[in-house]
Amino acid sequence: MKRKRWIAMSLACAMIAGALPAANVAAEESEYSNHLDISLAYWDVESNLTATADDKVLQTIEDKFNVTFVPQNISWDDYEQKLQLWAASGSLPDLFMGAERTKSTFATWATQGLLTEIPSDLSDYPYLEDYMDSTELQTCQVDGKTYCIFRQTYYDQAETVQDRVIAYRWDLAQEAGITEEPETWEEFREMMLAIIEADPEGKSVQGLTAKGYSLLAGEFFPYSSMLAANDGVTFYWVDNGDGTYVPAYFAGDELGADMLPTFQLLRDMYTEGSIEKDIAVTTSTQALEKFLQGSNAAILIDGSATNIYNDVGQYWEEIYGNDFFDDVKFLTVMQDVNGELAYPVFDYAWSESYISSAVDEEKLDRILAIYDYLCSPEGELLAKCGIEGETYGYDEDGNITYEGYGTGNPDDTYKSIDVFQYLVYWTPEDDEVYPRTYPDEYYEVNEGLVELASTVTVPEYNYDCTSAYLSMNGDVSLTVADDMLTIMTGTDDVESMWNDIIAGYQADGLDDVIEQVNAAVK
Amino acid sequence: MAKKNKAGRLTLPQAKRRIHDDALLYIMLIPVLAWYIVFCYVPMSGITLAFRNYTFNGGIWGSPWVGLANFQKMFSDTEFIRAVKNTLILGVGGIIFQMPCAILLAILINELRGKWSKKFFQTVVTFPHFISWVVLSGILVNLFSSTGIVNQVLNSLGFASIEPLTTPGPFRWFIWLTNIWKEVGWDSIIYLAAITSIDPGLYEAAEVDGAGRLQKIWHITLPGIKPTIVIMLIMAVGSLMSNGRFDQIYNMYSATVYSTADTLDTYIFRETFTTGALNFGYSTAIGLFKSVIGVILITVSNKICTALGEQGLF
Repeated sequence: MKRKRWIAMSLACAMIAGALPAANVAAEESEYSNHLDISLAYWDVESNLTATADDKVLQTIEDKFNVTFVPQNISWDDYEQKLQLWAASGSLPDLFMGAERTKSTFATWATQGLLTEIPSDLSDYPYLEDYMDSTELQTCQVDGKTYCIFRQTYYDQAETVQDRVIAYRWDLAQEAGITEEPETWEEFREMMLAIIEADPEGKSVQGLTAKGYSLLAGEFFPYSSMLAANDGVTFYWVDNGDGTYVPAYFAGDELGADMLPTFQLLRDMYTEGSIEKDIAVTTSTQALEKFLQGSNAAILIDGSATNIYNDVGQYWEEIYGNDFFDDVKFLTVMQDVNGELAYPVFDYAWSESYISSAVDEEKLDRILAIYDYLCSPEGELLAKCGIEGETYGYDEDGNITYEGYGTGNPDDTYKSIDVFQYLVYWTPEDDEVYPRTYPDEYYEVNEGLVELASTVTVPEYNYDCTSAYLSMNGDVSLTVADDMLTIMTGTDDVESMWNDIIAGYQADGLDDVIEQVNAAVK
Repeated sequence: MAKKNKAGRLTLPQAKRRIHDDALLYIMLIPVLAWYIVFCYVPMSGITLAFRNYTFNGGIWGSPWVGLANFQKMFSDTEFIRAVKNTLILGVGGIIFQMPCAILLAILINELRGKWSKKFFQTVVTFPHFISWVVLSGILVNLFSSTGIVNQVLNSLGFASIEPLTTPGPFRWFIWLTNIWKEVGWDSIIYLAAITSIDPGLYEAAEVDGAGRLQKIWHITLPGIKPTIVIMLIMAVGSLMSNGRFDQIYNMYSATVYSTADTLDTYIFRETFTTGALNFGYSTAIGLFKSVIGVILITVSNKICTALGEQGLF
């Protein structure tokens, strides 16, 4: 017994002795002498930032900045509720992500002291300063002060076209007698109805499904307004023809008249079945599964064509025996009510990073330094590709390659890559230098859509009005997706339902808001 | 029994003696009292938020007072009015349809002859109570979708499809019926317990007098469980405004059916935690409104029942 205890004590001493030099090395390598814990709320962070000992990417960043990340998990389903609860209970993490800057929540948090102001002088963080030098910065400001760091997804307006993409069953369409790929909503409806009628696979196939009904707004609103799909409080304002600025959602000769053709189109499609009846209650996972099973002839997804590969594309050949792109096509940029190409105009970043006001100057400096590093070529390479020789290398032309390194996908080896490569931004500006992790065809679909969208003239809008309204912290918050769903699935006349909804906004003070915003920007 | 003093009260030594005698009972009471103090009475201080404009930097105690502004806003908020209406309709419907079903089921189970069949049916009908609405709603959405098994069966029999999840009127019935299916077995337990406490001699005497089964149910069972029914009714009326259907509705509703399905609970949750549009002061005001109406309802229904000669709650 005594011998066992002695061996155990010796082993423990050896472990401690072995760990001490490592800790010293870490401290010596870092230019920061004071160790800090940084609590971080990021989607699924708990499962991606835990394997510290094995994860060299996480270890490199933690050692370099002498910090330990303390994960506070959020998921796609609960992040909004968790952030609100943490905000109310004064327990917001030091650093957290969210998609709140389009909502009144952002201005409330900023003005009520929950967020640390991002310094206007970022010269100590040159790469971050360069990154923040963007038109997107204005979406992060309240009363002229910056309270969050946008997570850039797109670098050109035309790229937002890929934020809503429809994939449809071209094999079924052909079997149903369709010979031309649809270019208008009329042609798309005809194709859907033909497939439903023919039901080539005998699966009682339904029309268009979606990864959440709210996506329909982005896809269909451009039919009569490219600018109307932004909800919350950061909606776009347009000149209504008489010099008065109104939210694009309510533009038209009569308040909101421009939206009527879209709502009528959606009602017609829902009634006839070219949009499936269950769309209001279909979850993201259900929609993907139904499309994969052949229960729906088309699916609307967000975040570009590549997003369908993981859940649908990679399994297609195994199930149907054909290549995905032989059976499925992606809908082109559709024509609006006037026969012109149109796509949804969104911000370039749909989410952002926040730093809690509980963070002191030292920790703020450390967080900004980490962000600066992740924007630098060295940090970007580490966060995106991992460790040279283990998860990536260079081919004979000097290009980065994943082939022959690990599984061919760096985040399979180092889970923290799933956090760090997206922490500051979704897409690096020079994304092309990194090897693709999806088949090329998906990227080609995106590129095709962007090329078409580049030919479209974006309607003018006045972001000063948006900023003015944000600083007012008003009560009018647009719920465009819910309004759309109510009208689309309703049975009363479309125009009267839309007028009722407008009356609801007016009861909340829409007319006053329009007056005040116009007065503010004059 | 300890003697009381002239004022009819126990003297201090007598009270000490009584506490000493029943010490075990008083110790058992401590966790319950602690629970009420910690989770019911201490949080009650947060009610002051209903009269404040909540700010994150001010918190519960430092946010500015706004008097009755939150209540004024409440009564001019069309979505709030709609939510009150829906809450009452769903709650009253629940009482009207669910209570009789539970009573009927208890009587039916009680009438079963075999001991095992009684246990079997009771287990089967009680089981759904233990399944979470999160799980059940997923199953129900699949069953009742346009291509779900229910519509497949209806269509194969030549009937038109039904869309209870996306049609405002039918959605209400869907909520009532699915809640009955899930909870009726659980609700019937208390009535079953009440039935078992009825003196078996009454049934034997009725049998001697030649009473049939239905007559025994009508003249012995129902009057025997009437006090329980009344108490359950008073409690159900008291909780009308917070009818406990949040997780059921939240997991199955969508904007399509807000007109009939959006209750106070779902409205507060959605606006506070999803859109972030509501001030916590305003949502506290709505919560206070719910509680006050609940107290009024339970008091009035208790008064009515006692006035009609029934045993009330208090």
